[in-house]
Amino acid sequence: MMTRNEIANNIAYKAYIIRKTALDMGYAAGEHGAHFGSTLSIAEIMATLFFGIMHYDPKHTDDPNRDRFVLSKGHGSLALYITLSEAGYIDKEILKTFETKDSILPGHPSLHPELGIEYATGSLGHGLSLGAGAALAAKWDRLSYMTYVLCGDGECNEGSIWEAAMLASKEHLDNLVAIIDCNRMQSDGFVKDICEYGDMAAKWRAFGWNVKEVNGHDPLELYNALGKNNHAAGKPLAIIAHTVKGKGVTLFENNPKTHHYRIKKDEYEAALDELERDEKNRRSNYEG
Amino acid sequence: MKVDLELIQKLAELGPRKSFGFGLMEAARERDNVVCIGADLSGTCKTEEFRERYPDRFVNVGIAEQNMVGIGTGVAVCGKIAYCASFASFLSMRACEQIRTDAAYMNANVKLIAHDAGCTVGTQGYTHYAIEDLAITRAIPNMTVVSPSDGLSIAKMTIAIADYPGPVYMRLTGTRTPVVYETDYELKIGKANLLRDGTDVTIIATGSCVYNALQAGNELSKEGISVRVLDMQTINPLDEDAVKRASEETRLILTVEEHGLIGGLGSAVSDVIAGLGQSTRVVKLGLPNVFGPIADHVDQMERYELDIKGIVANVKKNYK
Repeated sequence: MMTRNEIANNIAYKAYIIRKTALDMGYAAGEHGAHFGSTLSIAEIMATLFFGIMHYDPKHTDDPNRDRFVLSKGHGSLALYITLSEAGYIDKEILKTFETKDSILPGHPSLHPELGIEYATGSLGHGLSLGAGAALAAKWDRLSYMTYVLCGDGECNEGSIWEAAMLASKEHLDNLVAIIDCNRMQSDGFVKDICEYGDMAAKWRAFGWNVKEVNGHDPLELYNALGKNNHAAGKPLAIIAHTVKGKGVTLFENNPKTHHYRIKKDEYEAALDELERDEKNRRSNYEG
Repeated sequence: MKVDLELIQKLAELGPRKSFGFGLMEAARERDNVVCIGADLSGTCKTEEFRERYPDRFVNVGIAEQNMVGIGTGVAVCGKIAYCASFASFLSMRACEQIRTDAAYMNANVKLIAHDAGCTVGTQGYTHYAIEDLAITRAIPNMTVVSPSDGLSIAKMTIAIADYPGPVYMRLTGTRTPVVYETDYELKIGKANLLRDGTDVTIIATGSCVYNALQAGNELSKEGISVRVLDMQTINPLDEDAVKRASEETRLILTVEEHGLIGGLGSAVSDVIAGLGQSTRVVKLGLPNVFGPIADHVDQMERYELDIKGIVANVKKNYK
């Protein structure tokens, strides 16, 4: 049995792998570009879910009791593909086809249950309804799996998110978790300049959800918040994850010009150096 | 479902909404995974009986059609056959993207039940009309689009789509369900039903217009024009063979639908004819592409020549 610190260390390492591989894949995508900022923003969230919280088996993709995951902010696809690859679903060779002709890995995920991609997402505001459906089906079938939906804060501009939020609370879907990646940026720039949402936690609370606020880049905080202890009976759980868009790469951090970006060779090399230096420091701190 | 004269007479009295409600109960009785998602129109859409009989297989999402289709897709991905019912206008337009990107793109087992399409709601006005929904839904990949014509065919179709994999849009039109099928028949999704054969003219009709087309065909035959009548119960995929035979074996094709003249049955039939390289004339009857004046359903059908008299007149005018 791993200690909490060991689990957190593993999550941090997987988040590093997600970031590094995203740079490689995004660089390889060349002129097609990639959503680097959103991917880097959710690295710890994805790593915590798949390497700390969720129950799944890539050899049994149709296990009725597997936990479900919906990447409602589908433009974070790089993080999904890399995580699923690390989890044993997607072959590393397939990763290399990202955004190439005839690839099964488009910029926004299409349906491939055999690869662990159970939902096609990318049009914002759809994923929470899909996840609420999965949670509702679990209640109807008396199955114990959990459903996790990862949304963006900008995505919460979409009214359909709140339709689903209202329904999940009314149906007492305590087997549903929404994680809101609050990086306070969206395609056109900063949330404060586009459509300021104010107190995100208060909104979910008002919709009847149990709410936890965390630092979305702190593996231990995420792990603790997502753990079973935080689930209030009869209420869905919203994790408000405060994050930095582009986290870990100076070029992308809080940079409104790089939502979807074609990275140049020198930028790519500098970003890799930065990630590797940070990871080295993190490891030496951990190993003490 | 045991089909006998008694059932046919009963369904003839029920009208489209209740014929669907009856079919849904039949579909649910033998299939544990049939579920129903409502959007605050259970009374109108006749899903109340289902809700009372199967409370653990029903959810009301409130006035939220996008969420209805999203939730429907979500439960369908988990193995359910999800019936989502609302007015055709709200379902096909408010939830259009969820229909396309959730249900269709994921090829999910979602059955969209579109009540009161066309001008069925009469004087309620164009917010509640759907004269565009066939054009919208038949353009979506993976989407099967069906449009049954009388009480029996609505009930049979409601059951048939449960066993037909993937997303289906079932369109209900008209306020009444006069009998088109006096005995049971074989329903095949993707196949037209030949209601009467003829050698001069083919009337291809769908939904509420089929009964009128059949009566018109009978009248015209008495006057010496030999009329074939096809019930086009499936709009997508269209029975292209039946259209091709009509083009080769009769000299005029008249399409009749309670839908706008752009993108519906008439357009689908015209696409096929154009591809054949034949010169068979197609005359399209339907609702004009305007937000026009309101009237009761029966009066709109008369105004736009979708009633028996209008169909007869249009055949006579165009068949020479």
